[in-house]
Amino acid sequence: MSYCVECGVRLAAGEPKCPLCATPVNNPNQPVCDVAASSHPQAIEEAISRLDRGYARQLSLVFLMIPILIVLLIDLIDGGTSWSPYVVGALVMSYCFFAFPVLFRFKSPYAYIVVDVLALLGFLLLVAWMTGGISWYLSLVLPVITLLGIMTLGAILALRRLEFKRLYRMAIAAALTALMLIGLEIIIDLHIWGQVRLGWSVYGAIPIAVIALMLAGLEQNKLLKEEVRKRLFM
Amino acid sequence: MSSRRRKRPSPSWLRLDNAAKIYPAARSRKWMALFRVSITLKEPIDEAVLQKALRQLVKRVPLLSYRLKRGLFWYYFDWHETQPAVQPDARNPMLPIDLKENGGFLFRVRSFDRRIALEVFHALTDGTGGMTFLLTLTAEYLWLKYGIRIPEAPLILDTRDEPHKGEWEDAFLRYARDAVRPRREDTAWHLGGVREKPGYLNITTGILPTDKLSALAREKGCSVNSLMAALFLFSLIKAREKARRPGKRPVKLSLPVNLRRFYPTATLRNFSSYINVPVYTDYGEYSLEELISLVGHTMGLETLEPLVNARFSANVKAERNWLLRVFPLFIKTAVLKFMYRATGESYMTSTLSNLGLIRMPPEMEAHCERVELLLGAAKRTPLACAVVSACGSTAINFTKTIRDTVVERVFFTQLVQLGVPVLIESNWRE
Repeated sequence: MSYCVECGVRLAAGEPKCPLCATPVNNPNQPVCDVAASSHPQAIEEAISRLDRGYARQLSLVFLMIPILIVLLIDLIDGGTSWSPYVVGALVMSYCFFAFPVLFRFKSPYAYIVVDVLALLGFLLLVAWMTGGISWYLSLVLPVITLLGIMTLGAILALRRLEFKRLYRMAIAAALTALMLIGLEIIIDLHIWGQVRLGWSVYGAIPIAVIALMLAGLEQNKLLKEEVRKRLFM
Repeated sequence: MSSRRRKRPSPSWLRLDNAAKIYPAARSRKWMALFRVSITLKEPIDEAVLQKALRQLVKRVPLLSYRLKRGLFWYYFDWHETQPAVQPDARNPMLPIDLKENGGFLFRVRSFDRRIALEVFHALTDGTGGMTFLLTLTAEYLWLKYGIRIPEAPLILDTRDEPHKGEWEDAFLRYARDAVRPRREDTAWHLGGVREKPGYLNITTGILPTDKLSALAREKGCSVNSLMAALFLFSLIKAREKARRPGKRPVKLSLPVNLRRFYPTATLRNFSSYINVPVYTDYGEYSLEELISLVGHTMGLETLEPLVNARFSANVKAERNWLLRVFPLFIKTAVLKFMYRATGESYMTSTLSNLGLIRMPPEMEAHCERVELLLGAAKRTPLACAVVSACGSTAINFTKTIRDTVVERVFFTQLVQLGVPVLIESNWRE
């Protein structure tokens, strides 16, 4: 048992220096400190690193409500609800885009795409309603965004099917992109002219479709695939 | 986990007691209001036997089987049936309990070498309740390991008895009256210092012979509690003198008060209040004797029953306020978190909790070496001190989230100078 020459306290076994003043223990009878003799274990526990999402969600909602209430209040004092719905809608849409994926954890990514599509549709519906333009919303915005949403979901679904070979998955995603271009032009044509006149989308869709076929063919031909891999590896 | 469903001996859910309400709200990923009680036996712990003893304890004390759940307006305790497991102790104890990882239990039992430790979330119980759980667990362990039947005693329950509903009553509600005291106080000076790495609580333990400490208190004409508080204040004042910008705020020591002293109750839940002892250092220097006198007189005045009652009745009144009750939990959580920072931590420099002398039955004392209490340290109050005497030795534990050692150094060297030998242990690492 050693004493601290500075503090006068007795030091327990396993203390290499005085815990009160950091003076090293100098005991000729015990030249080496037996750290294992300490009354505390050597193992150090890891602290919790997980974010408390429940609390963060509640806090984020409170932070979202503050500007919404302020904007509504100012607009009401100003004599009506002329501009505040745009700000409120944009805030809610931004929350869905940026805060939702961080604070709400779902097992698959499809829920985030659905929420984003609905948020965008909701915000644009609000804009259409506020400006009295429901017709362009129904004939253009709703089908375009729905198509984009469905195609994105399809592409993610294809890319996540791990039982498919990688090049097949990429080929399906490329084919869906080609289909999306054509679908987009059909919707725009119907909105502008009331009939389908395919043009620019074909120029985009054909090379993408060729790439999709090439990827699928490459996956079929093992030797060719190996040759390509040999030359292109990084 | 037990395979057979046992009959639920207590209500399926409980409201949090008045003191507990603030703790779930105030907790964060890095901090949780925890305390730890531990007992060091004379022989190494048999973990398998301790696990069996823990099962018996949980059966006897249904309060331990509750987990924290969120309601729409308040947190509540929900009864569940699983069994807790004994965990290995660590060099950095008292990390916040991950309630999802810990099976929902609001406590954990840990063992290392000859020591059994119980870390408890303050929402569940206070120091007296925690010590009752630990000593009952130890008594059951001694029975299962050595066949020694420890008789029922204060802080030791008989595991053969049935639990009764007085053990989970909210005694605050029973004894609160209408008259309340304003809670506004002077903001305290706060201790600064170099912060320890997150997830590490520095522990410095001083072990003293209880008879020599009692003799010193008698010589000074005060109680051991007053002596400890005065010495702690003396040390805090010395630390304040060394601070770069001490300001004009008083040094304030928070002393928990066990309300079971005033009101008969069998509750094992929180039933304690506190008093804050301020020292206005701007008025001049205080000797240790003057601080003993100040602490003794302040405690004498503040621990009069009407004043104690009016203090905790203010909290009960706030809980009953319909305006507070109608707000959903997430708003209440934000408000309570703010209140805890603004009124709880702001009004004190540090806390000294003294559980006093624990008298064990001789059969139990023969197997025990010492008992300890550790308090968690918070952000604004980075240092806390806890004292408990048992088996002829008094353990004084300083827990802190800073590296500076001025306070405990002054504290223990003063004791040495006053003729009390001190043995120091720590969990410090390079």
